[in-house]
Amino acid sequence: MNSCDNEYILFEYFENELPTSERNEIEQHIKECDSCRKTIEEYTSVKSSVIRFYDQVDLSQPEKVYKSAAVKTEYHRKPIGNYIILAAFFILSFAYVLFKPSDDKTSLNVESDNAGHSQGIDDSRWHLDVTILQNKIESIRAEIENINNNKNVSEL
Amino acid sequence: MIESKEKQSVSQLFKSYSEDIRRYAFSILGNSEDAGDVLQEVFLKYQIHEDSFNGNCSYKTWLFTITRNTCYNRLREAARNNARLEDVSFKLYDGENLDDLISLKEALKQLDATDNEIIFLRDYGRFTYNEIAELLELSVANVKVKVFRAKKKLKNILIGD
Repeated sequence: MNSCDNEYILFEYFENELPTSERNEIEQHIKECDSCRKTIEEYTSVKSSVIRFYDQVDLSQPEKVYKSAAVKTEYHRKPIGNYIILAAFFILSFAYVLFKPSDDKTSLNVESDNAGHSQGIDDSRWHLDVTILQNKIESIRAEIENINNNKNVSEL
Repeated sequence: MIESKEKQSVSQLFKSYSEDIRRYAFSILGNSEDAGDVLQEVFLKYQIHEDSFNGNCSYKTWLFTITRNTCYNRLREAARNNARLEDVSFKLYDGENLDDLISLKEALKQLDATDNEIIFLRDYGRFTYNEIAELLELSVANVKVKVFRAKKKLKNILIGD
């Protein structure tokens, strides 16, 4: 093996990547060869300079950067929440349009509904709703009358 | 490589790797401000995609992969817009042999982003060839050759053939 003509072998030696037998051979060689020894020294010098360079580069305070990263994250996540609300709104609107009762069903024309034009589950549900509403109105009306009667009695 | 299959909080990860990520981004971009922006972007991306981390690699490798992609996206974007990233901007702490480091800075400027990155990973990051291969998605043999070429180039710029 002639490392004088093959810098890659010297580099592998420098990087500690050679098998033991070859490593011993190179070690023996560089003791005698100034040129190869110099090459190894140059790689060593460059490596230590690189390490010192990155050690000595002042790249400011990471804490400060982290805080601003956290703030940015909040801003970034906020629109996702808004999109969910927006999507829910559209889904509800769509559902309302799909299941919205037709105008004749929304009217309080109970008589016509009672006439027996059954139109499926939605109609029956609507009948039920109207009945409940009427009962409520009646009960409120009765309560008002009671209050008025009591008032009259107390005035007498 | 620091292995960690347990779930770590963002603040823990930031504490452990922010400096290395920043320096790694700096090695590719050559600019401390851009490196700072990349650091922020990396942790934003991490928080957004945190759930997709499947533990196949270490957090360090995952974060470095995000850093790498973010840096090269920036370089591509700059190239697309026909813009150049700002020249190397950073300051060095006062120390011995400052002139040597300034020469090194000038030498590093003459290398391309990938050479700078590889030198950083191998010499400063103390990454093994396998780890570099995993990060760069290359074969180990290819990485060895690339490391050799990059370091030889740097040596020749600094010292001469």
